[in-house]
Amino acid sequence: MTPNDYDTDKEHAAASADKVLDHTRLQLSALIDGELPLDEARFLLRRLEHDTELRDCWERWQLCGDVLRGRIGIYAQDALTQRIAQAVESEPVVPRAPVARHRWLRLGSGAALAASVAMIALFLTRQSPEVRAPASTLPAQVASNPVLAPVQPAKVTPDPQVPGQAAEVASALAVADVPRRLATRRSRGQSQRAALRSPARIAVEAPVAVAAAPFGTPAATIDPFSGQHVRLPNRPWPRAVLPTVPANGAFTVDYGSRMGAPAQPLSPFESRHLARPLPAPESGSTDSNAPAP
Amino acid sequence: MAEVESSQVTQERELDHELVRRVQQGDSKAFDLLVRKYQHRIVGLIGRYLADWSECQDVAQETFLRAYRAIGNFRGDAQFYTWLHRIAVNTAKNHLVSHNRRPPTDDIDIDDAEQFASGMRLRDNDTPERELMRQQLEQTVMRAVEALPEELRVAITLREVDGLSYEEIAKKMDCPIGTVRSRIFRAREAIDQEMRPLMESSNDTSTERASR
Repeated sequence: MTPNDYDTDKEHAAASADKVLDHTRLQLSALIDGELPLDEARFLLRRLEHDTELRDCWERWQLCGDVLRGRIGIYAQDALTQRIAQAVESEPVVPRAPVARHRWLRLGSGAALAASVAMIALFLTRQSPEVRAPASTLPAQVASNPVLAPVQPAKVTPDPQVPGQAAEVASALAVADVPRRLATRRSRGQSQRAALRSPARIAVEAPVAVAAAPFGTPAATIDPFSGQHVRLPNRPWPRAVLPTVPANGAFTVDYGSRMGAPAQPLSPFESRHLARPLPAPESGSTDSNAPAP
Repeated sequence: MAEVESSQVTQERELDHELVRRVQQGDSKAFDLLVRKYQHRIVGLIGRYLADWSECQDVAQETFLRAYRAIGNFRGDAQFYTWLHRIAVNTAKNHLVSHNRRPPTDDIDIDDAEQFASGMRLRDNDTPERELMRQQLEQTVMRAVEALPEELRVAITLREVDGLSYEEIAKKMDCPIGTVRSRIFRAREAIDQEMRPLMESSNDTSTERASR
């Protein structure tokens, strides 16, 4: 290696060192302007904490910006900087931020509250289909009966023979049911307004609502598809198709008359005497809500 | 213009909050960066309440110490400098009261405090030395900017005075963002070459005074 080569290497090394320094100062310039990517900014901030020359440069460039922007500033000499640094170092308590943890706690409690509200809302909305369950099960039961099957999905035509009471019950059920089915996300007020302004929809939906009518009411005796009066057969429970359980056994519950006797409403608060004979039928007494004997 | 200013404020705010977050995690060196960034403005603000340079430095030190002690409670809702400005004003007024002097009835608004043209009453407190130092600094910087090549001068002016982002400057100057970054950096380097001797001489003077 000649002396010339050595000098050239030194120049190259100095030039590359200058390049690194220039690159660092270029990054510092971008950092001051808030234009440095986050990962590079973190790296440079870490370096700034240990590089005195770079920190001095940071200070001068900040002061230069203040002067250019016309902000009043007095150059506070290095002595003041050192005094403040020493005073900070001598502080016994390092400031910690309880704020961040509290913020997470606040967020966590908010999320827990939102989750609990969502659970309650889910629970309440889950209850609605259960209330309407008979509407979906009754046609299936009717279809399984050989007397009425097969049931044709006939076009709905209002029957002039339908009694007024049944029509009222059907309308009331339809009013309650139509808005909820059509717009499950509507508010209660919107649903009520929708029900009031849609009589045509009510007329169309009425037969379906009839199918959803509770047992024991006159509406239950209307065929949901044809609108004609039909006499529903006894639906003993457990079903007669179960070979081990007799259809007219002591544990059988029905919703109509059995063997010519009126229906006995099932009261959960009174014990049933299984061996007691059925009371004599009374003419015109079909009220299923009559008190149990 | 408001959008431009808000863009610059947002960038400054993010950088300050990152430094504050580091201090809150126990990194006191990050606080030194905040001190170096804001001490000149804070000293200038306190200098409008107090005439004596020694008192001014004491109150500035007390201001930063109070800020350091309370920085754990800084939540980042406001800008860090707004928070620091309030601490400085209260510390300066408390200092005046504790020395049986009457503090000014009206506070210095943060916008007024940073403009040369306003707040003339409180600027009467400036000593000739401080005023001379400020004028020298301002003239040095302005002279350095005037001496810059045009593309560097335009770039640094758009950034520091108008507060444009690199992307906006690139559009205005019709050049890549990398070129803008390089031009602003070179402009700062050139201004720094002029500022450094002035600041070093100022430090030497203060050291000589302290040694006497």
